[in-house]
Amino acid sequence: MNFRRLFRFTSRSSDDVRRDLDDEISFHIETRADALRSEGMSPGDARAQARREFGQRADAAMISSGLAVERRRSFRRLASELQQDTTYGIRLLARSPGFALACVVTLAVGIGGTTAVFSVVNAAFLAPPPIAAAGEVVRVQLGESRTSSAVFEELRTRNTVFATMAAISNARFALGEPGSTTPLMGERVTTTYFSMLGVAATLGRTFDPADVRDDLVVLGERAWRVHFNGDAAVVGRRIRLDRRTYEVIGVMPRGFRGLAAPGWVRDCWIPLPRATTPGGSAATFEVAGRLRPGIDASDAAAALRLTAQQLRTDRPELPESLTAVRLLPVGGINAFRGVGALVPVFMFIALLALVATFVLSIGCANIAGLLLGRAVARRHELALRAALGAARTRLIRQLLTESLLLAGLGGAAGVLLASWLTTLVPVAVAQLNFPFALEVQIDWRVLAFTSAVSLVTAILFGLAPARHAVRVDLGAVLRDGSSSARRQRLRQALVVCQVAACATLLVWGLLFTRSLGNVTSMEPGFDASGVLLADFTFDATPDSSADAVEAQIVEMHRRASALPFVESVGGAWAVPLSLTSRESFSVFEADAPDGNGRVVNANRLTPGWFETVRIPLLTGRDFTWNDRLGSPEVAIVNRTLAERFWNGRALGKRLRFIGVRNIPHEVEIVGVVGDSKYWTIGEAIEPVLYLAARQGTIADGLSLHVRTSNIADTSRRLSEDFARITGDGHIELRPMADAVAVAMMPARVGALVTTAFAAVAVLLATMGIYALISFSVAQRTREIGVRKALGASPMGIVRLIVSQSLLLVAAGLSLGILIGVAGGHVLANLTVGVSPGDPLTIAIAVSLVLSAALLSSSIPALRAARADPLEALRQD
Amino acid sequence: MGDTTMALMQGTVDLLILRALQAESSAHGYTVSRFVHARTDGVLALEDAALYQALHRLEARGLIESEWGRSNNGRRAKFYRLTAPGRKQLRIAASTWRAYAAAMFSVLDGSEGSR
Repeated sequence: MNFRRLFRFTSRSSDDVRRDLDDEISFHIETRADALRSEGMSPGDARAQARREFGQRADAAMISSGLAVERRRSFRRLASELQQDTTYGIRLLARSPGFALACVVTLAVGIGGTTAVFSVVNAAFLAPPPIAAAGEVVRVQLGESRTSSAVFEELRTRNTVFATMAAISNARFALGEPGSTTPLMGERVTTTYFSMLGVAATLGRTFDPADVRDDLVVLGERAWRVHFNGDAAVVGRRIRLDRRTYEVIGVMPRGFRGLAAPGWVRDCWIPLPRATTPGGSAATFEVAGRLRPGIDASDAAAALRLTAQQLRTDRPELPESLTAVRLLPVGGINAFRGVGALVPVFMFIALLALVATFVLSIGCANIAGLLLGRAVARRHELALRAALGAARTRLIRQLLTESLLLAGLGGAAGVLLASWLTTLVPVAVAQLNFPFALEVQIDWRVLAFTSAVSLVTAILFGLAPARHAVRVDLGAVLRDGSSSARRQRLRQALVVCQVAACATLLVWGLLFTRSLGNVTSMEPGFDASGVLLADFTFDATPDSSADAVEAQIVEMHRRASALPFVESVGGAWAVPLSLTSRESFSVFEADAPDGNGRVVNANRLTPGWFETVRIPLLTGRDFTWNDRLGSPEVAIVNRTLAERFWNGRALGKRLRFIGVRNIPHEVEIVGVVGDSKYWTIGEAIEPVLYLAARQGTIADGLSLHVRTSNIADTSRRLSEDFARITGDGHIELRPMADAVAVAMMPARVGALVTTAFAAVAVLLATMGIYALISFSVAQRTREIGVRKALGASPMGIVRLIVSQSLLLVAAGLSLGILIGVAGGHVLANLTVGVSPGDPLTIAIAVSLVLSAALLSSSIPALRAARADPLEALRQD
Repeated sequence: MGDTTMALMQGTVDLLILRALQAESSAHGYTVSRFVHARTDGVLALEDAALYQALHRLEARGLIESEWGRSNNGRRAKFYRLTAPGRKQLRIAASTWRAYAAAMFSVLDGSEGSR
């Protein structure tokens, strides 16, 4: 169709037109006069006659003003036709509310659902931290993810590539007076932190690199809102964190989370103590820097590598791994490279994109099917209107208006759905017992894309009847109600595709759901149920010695053991699967000085932990309170470590490694315990080295694990005891099962999203199959009437229709299962313990699709079978 | 003329012009006027003013195009020609009209037994 022609009017000025007309009219009259003269009329008479024939008053001015009137009228007609079309369209849609609802729901789900899911994925995985020019900021890792303060100071003085550098250390703080404290997730940062990020406070100010006081605090928006009622007067007030008071100097904007990954909350920032003495403090940091203008990450990495090599030459006591420099971006998919999660996260997002594309195409196929079905139903109406003189363009415009009306309604519903869904997610996330908050914003690019795809589909297929009804031979349409074989085949292909897409999605959704089932039932190697976790925050002031804190912990340990209901007690530095702390060392066999080191996970324990979390002691002994500073250094290893190093015979063997604060250690293996998961549930079992907490600093973030048959009672008594011992500080109690739940989250979110998508797809596909089948049944009303008149039983007719539909469904189903299983192999990394060809998964998918198909074909079949044959024959 | 002339139904002027230009391939307004007059024995009253108005309208819609040239008698004249969209439009309109007329005929003088 030529749209330009539809709306084109002459571009020539009316003066040009009038001049042309003048010339044309005089030519016309003269030529006519010539002709009359040659018939024998006198020249004068001929001229007068010619003039009269043309019309006495007809001249160029009259004709051109006639043209102008015509133009004006056609403008007005266009407007009024548009109005008519809209009214007519609304009335038509109101007359078939089922059709309208199906279209709008399909569009809404296609547009809204897809957009919401992508927005959530973006917020949860990809959103860069809300800082100025996030692309210029990188995390700096020298060998390990954390950097010692000594190395940081050296880097800072030797820095040539960064405009600003900052060190960051996560910390928990207890806000408030002793006895009624609330935990805050915060960060100790260098005073350069905020200037490096380029973010200003919404209230008050942030740290100035020139600040020397260390009793300042900047609050996060959430902490300010929740704990200080959003009171602007908080700035200047002194608040109590742990045992010290700090002056509040500012509040950060909503959503500010520093460099933390999306979803993490930061409540407060406190300055790190100023540069430490050259001996170095125990603290380790994450380091980040903003690149100087004109320096890109690879230049900077090369320069830093040189710096690190020089540093090693100057200070040989620093670990060799220092020169393994990595610069990591702080946002987007590449940020996951740093935590070794790039591949799974990328796969997950790719899967989602694929699934969303599927849902969208099912939606589009639905729209196409619905509109084509309707086109068939409207062929008579359109053919009749065309025959009665309605212009083709007029009919097309009418169909276009109807499609746009549908698309507009569907699009609006889609936007509503998307915004509703995206508000649900933060609420759901808040339910998790975890310092996690998601701010989901609708991704407008995705919304634009999905809307465009759906609207184009609606318009294309909405116009389909125009191509057919207006062009074909009218007589044929009016005489014959049955559709052409080509159209029939198109509809059949649509059914097959729709069923195939639906089956594929179902297979994937089920794989994920079942893999989640496996994850939750998967053996972590320890038993978290019935275990209470107690995290203490003691005072961090310099005057309280490490020994005093250690004594308090030992005392807590003793008191907990004596409580009623308590079976056993043990402390661990890293709570497995809680995603809070991890530690790893390169260890070497002490007897093979030049042997290659292996990286092993590490944990530091007090006696009784293995018993408490039910990790079996296979051979040797547990730690005792006598394993302390000064006594021979001992370690316990898991079975995997024992097997990797010594084929299982580990007792009495010795390991060397460089521990925290770069202190070299040599430990004797005194026990071997069963394997357990350390960081994520899906990981392969890795070697773990357990050290005696008392041979390091016990005070450094030990979590007490208490196995009890009455968690509530023990919680209460424990916090009472804690208050009695310290009179101060903060204790946080929670079931270990809650802490471990976080490890299940990625799999859980993945399963939820895919299952939701699969459910939506099944719903949409069922609707689509229903629409297509019921339209093709409606097409055959006359044939069914004939069959009935010839004596076919209603059951026979139902059987005929259902079996023919099921043939198509079977074809689509086989195709879909094939694609689903083939794609499942690609996703094998993400699914735990379920093979893509899993028979149960396929059986469930097949039976679901079949029942949907059965339902959607039997309802129209029954209706057709019940219809009065005479009525059916009279139709058309 | 008088009683035997019929007012033209809306839309028919355009069809007549397109048909005339199909027959004559390139013609000025006068030729079109004479063609219609001759073909219908003067039954259809195509007024010349309406003719020129329609010619300009069709040209604006891109269905016909024009060119100034010399006529047989040596006068300057504007020649009209069908464009491709014009030819298509003629086909569509003609078939619609034929179907319409056929339907009308079959109603008006349909023999009772045939259907």
